Amino acid sequence: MSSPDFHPDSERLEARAAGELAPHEARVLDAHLRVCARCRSEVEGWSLLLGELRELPDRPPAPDFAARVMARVDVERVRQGAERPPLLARLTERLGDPVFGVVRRLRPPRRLPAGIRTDGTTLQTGSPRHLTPTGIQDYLEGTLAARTRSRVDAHLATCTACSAEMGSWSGFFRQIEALPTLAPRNDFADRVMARVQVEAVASAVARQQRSPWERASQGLARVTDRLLPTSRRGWILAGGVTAAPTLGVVAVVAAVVLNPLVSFPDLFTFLRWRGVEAVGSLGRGVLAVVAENPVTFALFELFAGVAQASPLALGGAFALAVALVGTATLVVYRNLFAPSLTGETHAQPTS
Amino acid sequence: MSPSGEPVPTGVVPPTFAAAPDAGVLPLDYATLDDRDVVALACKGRETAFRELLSRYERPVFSLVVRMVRDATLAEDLAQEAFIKAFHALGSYDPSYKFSSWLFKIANNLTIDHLRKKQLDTVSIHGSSSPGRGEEDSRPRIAVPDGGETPEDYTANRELGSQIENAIGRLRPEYRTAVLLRHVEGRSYEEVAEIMEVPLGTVKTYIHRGRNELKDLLAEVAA
Ligand SMILES: [Zn+2]
Ligand SMILES: [Zn+2]
Repeated sequence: MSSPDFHPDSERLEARAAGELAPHEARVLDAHLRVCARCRSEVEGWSLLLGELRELPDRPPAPDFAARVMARVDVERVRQGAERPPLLARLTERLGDPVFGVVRRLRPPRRLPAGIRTDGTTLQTGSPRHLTPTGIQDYLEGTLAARTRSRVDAHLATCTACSAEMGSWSGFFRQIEALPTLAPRNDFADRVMARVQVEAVASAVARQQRSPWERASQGLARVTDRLLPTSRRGWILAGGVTAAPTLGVVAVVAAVVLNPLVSFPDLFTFLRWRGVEAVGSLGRGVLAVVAENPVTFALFELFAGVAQASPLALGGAFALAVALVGTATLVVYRNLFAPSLTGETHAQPTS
Repeated sequence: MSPSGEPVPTGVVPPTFAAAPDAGVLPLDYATLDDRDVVALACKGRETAFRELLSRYERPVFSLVVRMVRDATLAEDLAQEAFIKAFHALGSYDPSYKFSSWLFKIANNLTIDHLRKKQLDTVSIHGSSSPGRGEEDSRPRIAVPDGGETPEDYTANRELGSQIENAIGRLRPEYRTAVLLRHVEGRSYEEVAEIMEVPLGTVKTYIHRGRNELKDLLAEVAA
């Protein structure tokens, strides 16, 4: 029997192995697993991997661990899965720290520096967590924060495996950055210019002169573009930023409205009375309005009411708002601004 | 002064821009101009401005394209298309972006379109839909210049035979573009994101994974 044409993506299979699927989703997936050996094998690979990862802090994986896992995983498929990052890279990310990770050692190094055994058990010195490829690349590009950088330096001083790896990475960087700029044939420009109607371009540009309105709307679109978060995490926390003040306002209003001393009809009568008063007072001229403004008075009383409303509720709402705004600002900063600072720092060779 | 001598040439007095539409009496030093200014002059129909843009970017654009398609003749055609397309669309260029990023974006889109079309033509039978692996074979497909052209024109093709170039050719096109823009063209992560029209996080992923794969491929060859 040939295997089905359609296969669930690795993410679903991984979720199945981790027991994260809803029961009905799991049933649908299991139906496929019954007929598809390939996906079944991948789920088993994921279970094995996830199981071992849970144990990691306590004991190092068995020497043949990587081999056993990789035997279960259809590498070519993972590699070809267009937008899907490689299995190990995703697991590394999942472990939280992109710079120091445990998983890197699971990947059998292809060329080992002298004195290091394949299973990585010779690494008694230094911390049990080693540099990830991501960490090494960020280090070499100079995009790590100063503190992380010094942690990396400290690790490199004690870990032969990681410093060998770092050495090979920096050699690799030199190699790609030494790639020459390639030139087309000498008459390239002439051949292009033979096909460009300079006059036509000029008159087209003149016709296309954008109206101020168009320019303004393009500017606006650009600003929106820059303000929008660039990652899912960014989106979620930008949502948080918006939600936090809203929640604060809701909490204050609720505290006022739910106060047993205030009822909706009372509040309405009170506001109407104040309103009538305010309209009447308008006639008494500007001086009177400034001197004893009934609107100010009304607002003052309203806030006095808020002050009397359960301080616990108000304090809670305030603390919640502060926490949300704080977290959201931090994450939005990391997602929107911090990454944009990191790209610029690496001086470039070439040309 | 010379009442009987040669007549004062009235037409040659202080040259103005209006009198000299193109590289006329006042020689403009294009080399000192910012890209945006050169573009502005090109928009006024000055051929020298177009030539200046070409001399600034023909190599970078060609370098990117030739490493993407791994065929110098084809790369020249695509790079030409890119320049012609860009020049004819100068009116829609928004000067608040870098001109080079805009040009690279056009060149990259043309190249990716080409690779996609080529992939559609040679679609695999088991229908694995991996948008990427444009070329299945790892060997460089070196175009043999047909007639008229001497092989010296194709230094690019010779270059493409090297180990590292072969390894680059085996990366997925997205990874390839990102790594090349970052390391060969020296673009920042933001610029790469702008050129490839993907989020910054994705660019970072492309570059990191591209480098990972590239390093492994090179180690494989060396082993
Ligand atoms: Zn399946
Ligand atoms: Zn280490």
